[in-house]
Amino acid sequence: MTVLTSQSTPQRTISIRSPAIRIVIACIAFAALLAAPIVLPTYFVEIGFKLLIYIVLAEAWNLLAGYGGLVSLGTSSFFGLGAYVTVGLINQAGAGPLQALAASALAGTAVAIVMSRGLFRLRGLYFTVGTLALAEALRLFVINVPWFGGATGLFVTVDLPEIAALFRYATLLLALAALVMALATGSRFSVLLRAVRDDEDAASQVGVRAFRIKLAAFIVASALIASAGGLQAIKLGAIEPYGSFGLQWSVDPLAIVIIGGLGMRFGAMVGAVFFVAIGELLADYPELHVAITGVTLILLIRFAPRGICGLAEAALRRRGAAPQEAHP
Amino acid sequence: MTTTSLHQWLSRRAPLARRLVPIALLSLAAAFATAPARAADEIVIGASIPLSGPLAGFGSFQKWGYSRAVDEVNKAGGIAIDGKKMPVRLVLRDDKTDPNATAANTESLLSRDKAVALLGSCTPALVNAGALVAERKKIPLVTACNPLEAFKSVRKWTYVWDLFFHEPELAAIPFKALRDLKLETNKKVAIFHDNGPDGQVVGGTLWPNMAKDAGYDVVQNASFPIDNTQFTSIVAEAKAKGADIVLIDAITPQAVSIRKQIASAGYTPKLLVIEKGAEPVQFAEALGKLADGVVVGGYWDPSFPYPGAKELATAFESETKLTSSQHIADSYAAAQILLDAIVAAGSLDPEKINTAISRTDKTYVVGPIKFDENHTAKLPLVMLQWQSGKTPIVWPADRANGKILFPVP
Repeated sequence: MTVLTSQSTPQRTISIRSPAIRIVIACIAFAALLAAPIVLPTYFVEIGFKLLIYIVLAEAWNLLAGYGGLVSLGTSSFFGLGAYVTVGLINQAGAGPLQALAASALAGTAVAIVMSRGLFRLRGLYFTVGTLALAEALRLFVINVPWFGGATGLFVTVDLPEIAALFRYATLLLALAALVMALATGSRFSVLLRAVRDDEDAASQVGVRAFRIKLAAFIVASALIASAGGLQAIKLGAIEPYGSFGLQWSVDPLAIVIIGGLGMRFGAMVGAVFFVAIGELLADYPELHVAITGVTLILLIRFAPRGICGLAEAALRRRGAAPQEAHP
Repeated sequence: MTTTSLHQWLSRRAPLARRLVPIALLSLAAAFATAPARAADEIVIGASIPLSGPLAGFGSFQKWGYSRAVDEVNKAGGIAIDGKKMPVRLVLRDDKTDPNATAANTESLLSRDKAVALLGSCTPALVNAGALVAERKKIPLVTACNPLEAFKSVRKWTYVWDLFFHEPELAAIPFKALRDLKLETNKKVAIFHDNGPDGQVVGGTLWPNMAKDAGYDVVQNASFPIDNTQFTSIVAEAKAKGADIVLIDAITPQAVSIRKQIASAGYTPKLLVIEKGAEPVQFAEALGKLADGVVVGGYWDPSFPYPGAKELATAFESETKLTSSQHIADSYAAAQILLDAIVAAGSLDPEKINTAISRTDKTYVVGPIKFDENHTAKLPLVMLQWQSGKTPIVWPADRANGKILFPVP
């Protein structure tokens, strides 16, 4: 196997064969997902839709927090924004779902750009609180401005797509998220983002334009989250500020990524599977679901801060197969 | 080891199967979450209700009402479907007071638990979220706890049915009571309302119009977000304008805050109406003597002359050791209507059950129920007033079992 070494990422080796194989596997997986509604029972399609939405949200959050060190509690702000833009465009402009979702991604991008100058002045916990404030401010804005239906919210006035179609939209969104994440985490940008995460001042001193790097990650994550919010709104057919801007949309991705593995490439996916599976298994015992998720988080943070993926990686390394490298 | 190193290891050393760990996990989860098919000899009906979150109080009453109706049917041997008696299984899910969860729960009640019919959640946001799923899946859903205008405003329903109060009738109660009971005021009205579905309808539109029609002067109409907590300025304005009548539409936490802030401002309106928020016993528990004199519309009381009304409240209080709520009655009635429809249909076919619901014409514990073309059935209303921890009916005269405290003490 031929190995190339990137000058900018000296510790990272790239197999000529494995990327191609990965691309093929990914294409097959996404084709299978697109075809899944044909063969899967409705229940699994519905659960699959929820899982895909959570993976997209968690991927976006992982990009920000895991790779960029931007621990955000503002996921719900972009999620709700996407929901309102999507429903507004479908109702008022007769837009189709894909057009509306694209527009919600653009809206997420625009708000990310507008808010970045203020938010990026804040670091660490202050940034986290700033994003939380953004979510709350947007929610209050939507509640109080009459165009958005106040606390009543808005209803989709056209016939909604079937769950199979929504599942395929979610698959396309996941494919987009996976592509973006592959580019963002497997390129020079990833190195720059991690450099900013590890020490923004030091990175700036050696010529990294920290603001631009953070902004790029913020834009990408915001666009993905807004699209996911739009898709969820189409599925619901009704949106209101308390549900669309609910704190759970900020907390769930955080829990998923911590469970799966912060900053781990498959952390979002593994965490989302765990989160959704536990939720479904304990659907008749909601109090247990909350308790088990909480205990899992506590145990993982205490004993395995790199999540399930970190545990799996450590287990594989103990078997003597993995090369020794620094932590991400 | 970095994330990339995992890639390296997987790429270079692990067999292909190990690269598919996430897919394997997904499959494992799917296997665990295998849908439990409905047993062939039972009838499943489902409901997603708020058992946690801000509306958990309502959910607990709904749970009791729905369960009691189902238990009664099962004690009587179940329901005959195609000549064979089958028990009814009620599957309840907690929507955590989140419409997203209501929709997801409703979907899984249908696709996983194979429910043949549904019962609703509580408040417009939650009920509508589940109802839209039921409508899309063409499965009948009977609900209460959703004011009728808020219900009708969503869409033209085919499979969803609502029995509850009609906002215009609720809004008219204070003016009718003022007229009928000959209560003397300066005819100045202040209105505080949240911007929720019924708050906008009742406080934003109906009360101002009805006040004007009845010859009252609306000196203030203040709207606020549902979760607002600071009311000092709107209370001060109402006091400054000398309104003898204060009409409020807010949920319980805000209703409690407003009442306290009215008292702390030294403001003493003669008539204080607090719709929605003053209904549960938690309102009086939070306020103590301050609750006395507060008026609220009611659609049920154990004293109502309908079959089983008194027994229902007695059963609730003896089983739970809690004070009964009108929500046990509408929940119980909604479940009875659905169960009666399944009996009448003699089938688990959703279309036949839906048709049977449309033909409902019977007196239940909440009164006579017959759905109109909008799929709504109005519950008759009375005026209740908090007096020493109890809510006697003070209007209309033919149903009153107490005398109104006027002015507010």
